[in-house]
Order: sequence, then C-alpha cells, then structure tokens
Amino acid sequence: MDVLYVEDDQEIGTWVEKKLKQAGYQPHWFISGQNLPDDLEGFDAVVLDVMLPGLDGFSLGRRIKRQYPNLPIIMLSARTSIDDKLEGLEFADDYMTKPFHPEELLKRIEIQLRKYERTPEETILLHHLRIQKSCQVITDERTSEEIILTGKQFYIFHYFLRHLNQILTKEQLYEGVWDEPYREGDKALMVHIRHLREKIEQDPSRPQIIETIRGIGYRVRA
Amino acid sequence: MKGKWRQSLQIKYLLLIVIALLVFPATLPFVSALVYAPPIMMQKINEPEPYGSYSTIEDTWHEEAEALSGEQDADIIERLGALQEKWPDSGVFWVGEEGKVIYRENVQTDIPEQWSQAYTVQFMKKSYDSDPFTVVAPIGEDGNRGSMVVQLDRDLLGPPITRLDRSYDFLLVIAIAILAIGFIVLSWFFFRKVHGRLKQLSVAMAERGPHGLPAPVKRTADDEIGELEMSFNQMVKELEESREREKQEESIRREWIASLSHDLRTPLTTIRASLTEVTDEVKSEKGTRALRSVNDKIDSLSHLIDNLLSVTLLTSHKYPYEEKQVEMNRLLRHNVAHWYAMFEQKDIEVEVTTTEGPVLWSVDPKWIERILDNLFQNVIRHAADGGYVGIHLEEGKLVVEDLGPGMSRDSHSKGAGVGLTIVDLMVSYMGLGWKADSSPQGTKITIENPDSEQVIGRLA
Repeated sequence: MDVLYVEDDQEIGTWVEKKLKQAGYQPHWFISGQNLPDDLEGFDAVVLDVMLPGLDGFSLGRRIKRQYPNLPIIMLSARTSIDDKLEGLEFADDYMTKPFHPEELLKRIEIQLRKYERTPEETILLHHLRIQKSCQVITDERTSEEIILTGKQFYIFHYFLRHLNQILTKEQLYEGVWDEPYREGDKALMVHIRHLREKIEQDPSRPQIIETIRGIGYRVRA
Repeated sequence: MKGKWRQSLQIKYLLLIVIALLVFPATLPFVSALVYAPPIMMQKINEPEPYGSYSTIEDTWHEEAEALSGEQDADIIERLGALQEKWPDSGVFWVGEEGKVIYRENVQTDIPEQWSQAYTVQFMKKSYDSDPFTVVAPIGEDGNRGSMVVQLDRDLLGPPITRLDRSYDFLLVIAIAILAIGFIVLSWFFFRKVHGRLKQLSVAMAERGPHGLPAPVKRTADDEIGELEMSFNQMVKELEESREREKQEESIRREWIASLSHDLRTPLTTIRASLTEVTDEVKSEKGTRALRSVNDKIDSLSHLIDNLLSVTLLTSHKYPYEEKQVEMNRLLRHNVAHWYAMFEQKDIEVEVTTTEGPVLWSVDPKWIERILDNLFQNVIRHAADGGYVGIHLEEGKLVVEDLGPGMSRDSHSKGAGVGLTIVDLMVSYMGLGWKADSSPQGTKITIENPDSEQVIGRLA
C-alpha cells in the first residue's frame, strides 16, 4: 500500500512517515507539491497538508482528484476553520485537523482504502463467514456452504463491507444502496436487513455480524 | 455649469412663466393679423372701397353743396338723388330754408318734417362724431337755401376691418383659445416629463440589486435631474466601495484568525510527535500516566484554540451562516454515528431516541453539528464517569443528557465554559432557546425550537 504524503514540517513529516511505515504502508513523503512524480497511478491513498510552500494543498488535491478520481485524498491540516473544511471537503474524502492522533489518521486511511476497495485482503473473516472479495462469494465456515444473497441483500452487505467498523445511519445505507433520498419512516431497509440476517447470522434474533446501533443505524465490525 | 444654462430646468421653468405672462399681450396682434388680414386682402381685391374716407365724403359733400348753390330746386333734388344712388348705403335729405324737409331718400334716423331752429342746433350737436357719420353742408350763400345732409354708417367708412363679417371675431376667439390650450398642454408636458423622470429615479433608488444595493441609473439629460442622477450613482458607487472594503477587511480578519489557529496548532502537533517518540521509552506507570495527561492536554488546548477563534468569529458575526430546512433526525443520527466510537471507547452508553416522522428545523446544519460536537465533547471530557449519554429528539426539542458529576465543579467548568459560550451564541443567533439543568447527578442540556414543524402524514 503506497501512500503519497505531502508535509512541509520536518518533525511532523518524519513522525507520520514512521507511523505509516509501522502500520505496514509504504509512505512517499514530499516536502512540497512541486516535485511529485508525474504518474500517481501506483499510489493507494494521498495525505495532504494545506499550508505548503508553492502550490497549496487545496490546489494540489483538486488537481490530483481531477486526474485520479479513484484515489482517496485525506487533508491533514492545522487550518480548522469551517471555511477551510468546507473547501477541502469539496474534493477531498476526509479532512483531519492537527494536532491529531496518529492512530486516528491510520484508521481514516484504512476507511478510505476500504471505501475505494483498495484493501489488500482478498478474504475477510467475519465470525463464521468467509468473504472472498475477488469473486464476491460468501461461505459459511461451519458448513462450507455458499450463502446466496438476493440483489438488494448483496448490495447492502457489500456496502457494509466497504464501510467496515463504521456506523452507518439508516439514511446513509438506504441512499448508498437504493441511490435515492431516504424518507423518514421508510421500513424497506429494516425488512431487507431482517432477511439478510436470517441468511448470515447464526441467531437472527441476536445478530452478531450486523449490529443494531439503537436510534442511529447499523454497523459491521471486523 | 457654464454653457449648460440652456439645459437648466430652472431656465425652462422661467421661460414657461415668461410665455405665460406674454401669451396674450404678445400674441394677440399677431393672431388678429393672422385672422383678419387674409379676408381683408381678399375684400380689397374683390371690392374696392366705394366711399373712401370720412374726409373725402365730407369734402365731396361740401363741393357738391357749393356747386348746387345756384341751381333750381328740381336740379338740386335730381343731383341729390344721383348722389344717393352713387352711395347706395347713405341716407340723404335736404332741409330747406324754412326748416321744411324738401327731399329725403333712404334716411334711417328719425327726423321731423319741419325743423325748428332749436331742433337744427340739437341735430347738429347730436350728429357730431356719432354714428351714423353725418355731414351737413349749407346750400347757397350763407346757407340761404337750407342744408343738405348725408348720413353714412360709420362701419362703411372706417378701416376695412370694420366691414368684416362678425364670424371673424368668433374665429379670433377660437384662435386665442387654441393658443391658450396649447400653452397649458406645453406646460403640462414639461411638468409631466419632470415628474416622470423623478418617479423613475425614485423607483431606481428603491430597487435593490443582487448585493442589496440599488443599481446605477442612466443619466437622462444634462439638467438638474441629470445631476441628481449622477450624484445618486456616485453614492451607489461609494456604497459599493465601502461594501467591498468591508468584505476585504472581513476576509483579512478571517484569514488572520485561520493563520493564527494554524500557527498555534502546528507546534501542538510537533509536541505530540515528540511525545509519541518518548512513549516507547517510558516504562513506569507514573511516566505513562503523565504522558497520557500531556496528550489529553494537547487535545483540550487544541479545542480551546478552536473554540476561542470561533467565539471571536461569532461575536463579530463573521462565522459563516447558511440557513436551510434541516431534517433533524437525520442530522442527529449522522452526527452521533461519528461520535459513537469515541463514546464506546470511553465506555459511555449511548441512548438515542428519534421521532417517527421528519422534524424540520430552519437552521444551518453545520452550526447544529458544531453545537452537538461541543456538547458531546463536554460529555466525554467531563461526564465520562457517568457512563451514559442520552440524546433525544422531540418535535421542538433536542436534549443531550449525561450522568456525570455536573457543571458546578470548578476544574471542569472552565473548559466547558467556552464550549457552552459557543453553544449559547449559536443557539440564540439561530433563534432557538436553550437551558442547562446541572446537578451532581447529571447534566441535561435542552435546545428548544419554537418554530419546529413535524411533518405528519408525509409517508402515505
């Protein structure tokens, strides 16, 4: 996993580079946006500071996003005003403010990689389920039988996998899967999740894979 | 203003007044000439004057009388008849020596057949300079044969105008009336134009462009209203400039605050970087605890900076605000989802209750998020011991409650203070209300929206 990292502060740069390495990434740290490699195809994620000598992080990020729309960009800046955040989030996938906890940065990179399906793991183990990402096959470890999901169930489950460990609100899930605005009170999602649970959970009345977060939504934890 | 006097409304107005004063005295001769001259000319050509002037009549009459002084009565009568025929409109008579009327032809006035001395004198006196024009000429030496008299209507002898038909007078009245109406229309047009332009200007002044300022107007003429339009444009321009300046100052201020925040945060990040470097070296429990405390302080310092800068922006009304219809259930769930992991980490149980139907508030969602962030921040930092956070949405009410030790404890209230100041500023700016109930058993913050609307029956 190659991470492009642009940061002009020596101390912070060294630190983040080290943390990224420890987490198993290959960081490529640049002091400014001016001497970046021409081809960014090989990178899996970008972490950008905003205040940079020469070209600022916003312009740089916008340029990268235009050329590589599938390359996740996380802004990492000491500029915390709402204006800056809004400007950053127009193109970037995430906006983190300094001072930050390195663990949080790593988590957010992970979230983005999963969202863009750039995770290295080919198979995910969830309790008794083995999920092969490449051919999108779900097997029950206990019986070695394949679990066949209907179209909507598959999309919902896939959406959970792309947002592993994140709490998804009903709106997020609905809109991510159905691709249309969620209407408050709509029961379709609940019904689909109940059917999905019947297929994948050991005990659908006490679900372990798809957790219900009361009042908010659902979560699938790795 | 030199050379522009001709354009001036004042001059135009004065001109109008002068015309008003002169319209009758100055134009009357002109109009009557216009009305009467053509028919008079026509008449002159068609019928030359038959009688000549007063003096020619008088002279002719005296000459005739002189010529007749030696003639026989019959000849005189014949001659008088001939003269009457020559002047058909005249009345002719002859009063003889004894006062007897010997001859009369076409006499219009009342005369007696026998004239006394007294009547003769009275007649002479009466007919002098009166109408009809009367010439009395004695016949014979010393008038011993009486007097011959001719009477002519003065109209026939006066200037040609007197002989014109009465209808021409009517024509004159009409011409004058037209003139007067023309003048009234002219002045009305003048004032109507001025009025119209002033009205247009007032409409342009009242209209607001996209920036809340009126648009510049087009200069319509080189007069006083034109000047007014120009000064109006100048005013608009100055207003625009001051707006622009204000905007620039605002953006400089914001930029300054942002840089300040940046410059404060960067060293904090470096401190954290250095801190993690030593974390591995520190083995003792006391050391680890100290490190954790420093780490926490970095976070709270960072939040403090953020909050202070936000307060600065809020109190100077420079914090961007964009109001929309927000569905609160959705916003709340989304925000709590972000904080959920953090609550979990601190072993805080999260209880969320939302409503069945949508609840719409007219607010800036970013502001509500900021308010919630501050409230949740306080729960995590000061009420984690309670192990519980309740987030409840009702129709016009949003409640965040915890079971922490309350806000009265000094050490905690300070940090929470700035966060709550922001909550207070934002809540009141958006027209909402809020209250805090804090006791050693917990804190309950209630945000109330009197204008909240719950949409029922939207889902059929």
